[in-house]
Amino acid sequence: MESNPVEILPFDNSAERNLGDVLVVGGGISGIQAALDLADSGFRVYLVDKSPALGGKMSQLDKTFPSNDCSMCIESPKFIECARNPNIEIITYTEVDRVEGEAGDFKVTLTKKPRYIIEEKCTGCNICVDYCPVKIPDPFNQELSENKSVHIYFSQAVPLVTYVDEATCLYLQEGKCQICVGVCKTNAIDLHQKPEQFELEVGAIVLSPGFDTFDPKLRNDFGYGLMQNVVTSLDFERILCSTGPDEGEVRRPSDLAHPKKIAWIQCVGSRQVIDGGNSYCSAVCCTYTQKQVILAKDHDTSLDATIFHNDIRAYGKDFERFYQRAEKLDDVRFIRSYVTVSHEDPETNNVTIRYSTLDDGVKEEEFDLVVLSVGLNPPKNVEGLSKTFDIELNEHGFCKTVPNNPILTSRKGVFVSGAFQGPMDIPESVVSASGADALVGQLLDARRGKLSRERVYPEERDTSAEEPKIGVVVCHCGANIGRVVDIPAVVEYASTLPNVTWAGENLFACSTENAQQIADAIAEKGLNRLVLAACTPRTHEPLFRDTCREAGINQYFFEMANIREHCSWVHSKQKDEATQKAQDIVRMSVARASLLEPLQEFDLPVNRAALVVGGGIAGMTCAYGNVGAVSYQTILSFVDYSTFFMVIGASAIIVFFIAMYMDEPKGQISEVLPDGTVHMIDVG
Amino acid sequence: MDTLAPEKEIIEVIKEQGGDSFKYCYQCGRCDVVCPWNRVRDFSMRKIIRQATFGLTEIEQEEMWRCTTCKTCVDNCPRGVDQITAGVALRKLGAEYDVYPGNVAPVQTVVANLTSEGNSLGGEREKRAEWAKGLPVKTYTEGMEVLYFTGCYLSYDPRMREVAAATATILHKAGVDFGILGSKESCCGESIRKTGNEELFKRLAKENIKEFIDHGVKKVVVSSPHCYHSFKNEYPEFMVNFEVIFISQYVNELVKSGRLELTGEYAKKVTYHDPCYLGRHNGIYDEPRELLQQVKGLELSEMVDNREKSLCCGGGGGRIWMETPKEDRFSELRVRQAVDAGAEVLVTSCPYCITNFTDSSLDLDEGDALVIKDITEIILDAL
Repeated sequence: MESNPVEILPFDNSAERNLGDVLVVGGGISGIQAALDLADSGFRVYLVDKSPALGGKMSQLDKTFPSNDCSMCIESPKFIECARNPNIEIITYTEVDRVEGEAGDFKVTLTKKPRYIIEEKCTGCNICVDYCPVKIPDPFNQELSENKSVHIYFSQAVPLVTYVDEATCLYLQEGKCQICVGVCKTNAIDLHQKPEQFELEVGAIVLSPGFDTFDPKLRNDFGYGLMQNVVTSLDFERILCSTGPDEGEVRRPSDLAHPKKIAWIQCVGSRQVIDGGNSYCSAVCCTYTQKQVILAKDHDTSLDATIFHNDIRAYGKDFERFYQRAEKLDDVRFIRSYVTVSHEDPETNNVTIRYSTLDDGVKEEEFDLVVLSVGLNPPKNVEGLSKTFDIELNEHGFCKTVPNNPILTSRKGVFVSGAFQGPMDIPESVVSASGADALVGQLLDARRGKLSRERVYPEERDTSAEEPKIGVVVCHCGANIGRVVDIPAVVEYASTLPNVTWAGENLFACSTENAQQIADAIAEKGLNRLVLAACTPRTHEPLFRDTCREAGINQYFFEMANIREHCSWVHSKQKDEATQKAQDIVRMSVARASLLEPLQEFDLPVNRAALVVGGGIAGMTCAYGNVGAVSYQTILSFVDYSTFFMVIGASAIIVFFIAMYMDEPKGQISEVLPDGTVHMIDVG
Repeated sequence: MDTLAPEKEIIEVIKEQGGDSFKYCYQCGRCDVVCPWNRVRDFSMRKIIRQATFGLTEIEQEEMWRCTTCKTCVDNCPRGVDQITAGVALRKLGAEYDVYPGNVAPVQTVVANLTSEGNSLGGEREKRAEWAKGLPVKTYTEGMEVLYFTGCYLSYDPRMREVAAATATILHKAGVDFGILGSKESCCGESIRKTGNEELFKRLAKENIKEFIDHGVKKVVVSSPHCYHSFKNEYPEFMVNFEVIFISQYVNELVKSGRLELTGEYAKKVTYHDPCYLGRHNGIYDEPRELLQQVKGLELSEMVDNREKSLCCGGGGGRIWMETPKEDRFSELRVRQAVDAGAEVLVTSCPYCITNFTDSSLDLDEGDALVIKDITEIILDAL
């Protein structure tokens, strides 16, 4: 029995291929959220990104503050949701050339850069990557590790398709080699691919191109680019990550040793009027540094961490608590002083930092590794963006918005969401995306539901006559579970349990690759129940229920065993006991799974009305979004309904009589010009 | 805890003098980190600026007189605070009340010298051109190519007179039609202005400008970066516009254009020190190096703190006239840096730097013998 692929759904009506409702430019977390909200509101969305895959900067992060949630764990299910949504077409490795038209009727010309891979044929098997002879610095890993000229951007990428780096491919540069073409089993490699230009017609555009980190290499700030052990915070984020250059081992570039003493330097590139710097504060660096300190201490409790800052900005929800959590850790010092890097020891490559104190003069200290907390710049080629979309930028190069409506750009029909508005954290990026959805909805209300389609699931298999056949997948969750629990042992144990037909493991169960693996296993082995030993159901239960539905079994045959929050996270120092406990949890879940019954969901009709509680600026904007209605709402809050309607009635009558008896202006009116002369204008 | 009352006068004076930028300070401490004083003792420019912002400056303290106006803090301040202007304004208050505490006291004598004889060393005005005796040096007349403005130290100080002589010889060799003002020349006034004496600076400047105009001067060549700085950046306040060129720039031009030929050689290991007033204050880093590279046999190396990071000799801001105990002298550190760079000769082009380095080089061990030279002296040897 063939399982359905979980990748992009083919469009049925090719005549309508280029007609949509909204174009979302930028497939980072903000663009993804905007696309999902718009698709669920009944619009057809094109989600375009210039990278080979969705994800943006968030996909490069290890954890997100202030909850320290695993970043990929939150993002990759959203990738899959986008891929599965019939109203979203994901177009990657593509840039926008030209935008013509106006709000409600835009014609956008785009160019799809050649991946040299035929997307529909690529299965993401990685065999071409294994055979490719060219090694290149890995762009996803901030060039701290190596990858091949042909590779998948990162392993949870959507679309899960390789791409060939033009500048380093031997065939494209010198006409030699074609090993990948030979080994590809589906003939998906086409080294003669050309850029493809195409047009899309949409009613609105949402810009979410995000940001770029400040590049300290331009001025060699603090020795970056000259001293090996000076890295940026994004470099360090990759170093911390289990999918990073050292697979989660925190090692420093010069000798790959574990650093015992790390310094973080704040405000790199920000809060300065010096040439080449930005005068604004980048909003997120204080908190992301505290996150990195906490995580680095997790990796090595004996680590000595020092943060050199000018003040700590902890303005958001839970930020102050987060700061205090970092500050209370042993051997963590927050020192208030901007610094200079005085020199690098030629033998050890340790870096010496010079800092000032209030009463003890200026001191010098040596560190194994220095992390520069770089600020946020507007996205690369922002001037090009501004020209292409014909929108204005503010004095810092970010999108110019309207003060009381920061989602509007200077062009009607083009909206902005996420960090292109200005430096912001992930929650704000997501909130502004949903806001963009609301405003697009207002603009395109008449088109709602016309181009969108319903999700069609395969028919559900009737398993009432079958014996329970349980599949168990044990997830590493990167290093979150894998570093504590012995995954292979749990998999082996699971396969011995009654009713278990198949057991397997995965690095990130929430990735596209694993969703496919599950769907395949259900098909091939005829599984009718699924147990996933991983994180909390609060994060991904809906995703996996959906996966089961896609595979043709009832979604309530899915059971989650929490071996992360209930096991690896709380027993991180007791590996053997944690493994034992994980096995117990899996056993309990398998036993429960055997007894699960299929359940059906159904829809109930509701009144299509919303209650807004609270009539402050937020409540008013939410409720109405235009000033006229706002003034009436203000009156309503003072009086009762009948008085309110009497006021409206009275206003109408008064206006009627004014209009009736108002004279047309006749003759001339005068105007005083700036130089003092009086100018007469004919009217009437 | 004490409640302190701010002295409004202090705040007003600083604002009037153009030091308003001190209000931007957000106490990050970077000025302290980069200030050369903190390599020899504890000194906080951050504290001085902060106290000044609240009008709490302690004028009787020596602290605000420590600054050599080297500009390292100004260049590194992320907020664009001009510490030098604020500091000079504070000193103006001190100067007005004649408060020159401790080691700063010699400045009073300098004020007297400048007032009576037009130079800071106390030499007689009539004898200002004595250094030129026996050298091919004429009095400046209208129509000459350049005015060679010698400067106080080069005119009166025995060591620096050698530099004046070398300079005159080179200019003559290159066939430059130049002249000097001799006793009509007054101190450029740059350093006394930095001690807060605005009045005296104005007087000296007006005297010089009058002489320049009377003599029909258009282009001026100077040997001191302090004169350079004053003529280029401060004299225009009087609405005049003379062309100023620094000696190492001028000689570099002469060599490049072929007017001066370097037929000889100078086979030594040399390192170049960027004077604060040439480098950080006026952006001249490349031309002196270009000139040195053209000398045959010369091996040029760089010290650790070079170009924008050059370590001040300690002479600017009027400190050349003040007492500095040996353990507080940056020049002691600098000569050691020259030795560490493998140099036999430390070359620079500023009378204050040469004075300070020569003094400090006497403290080096015999094995680390370092010779301090002006760039013109090297060129002279290489003619």
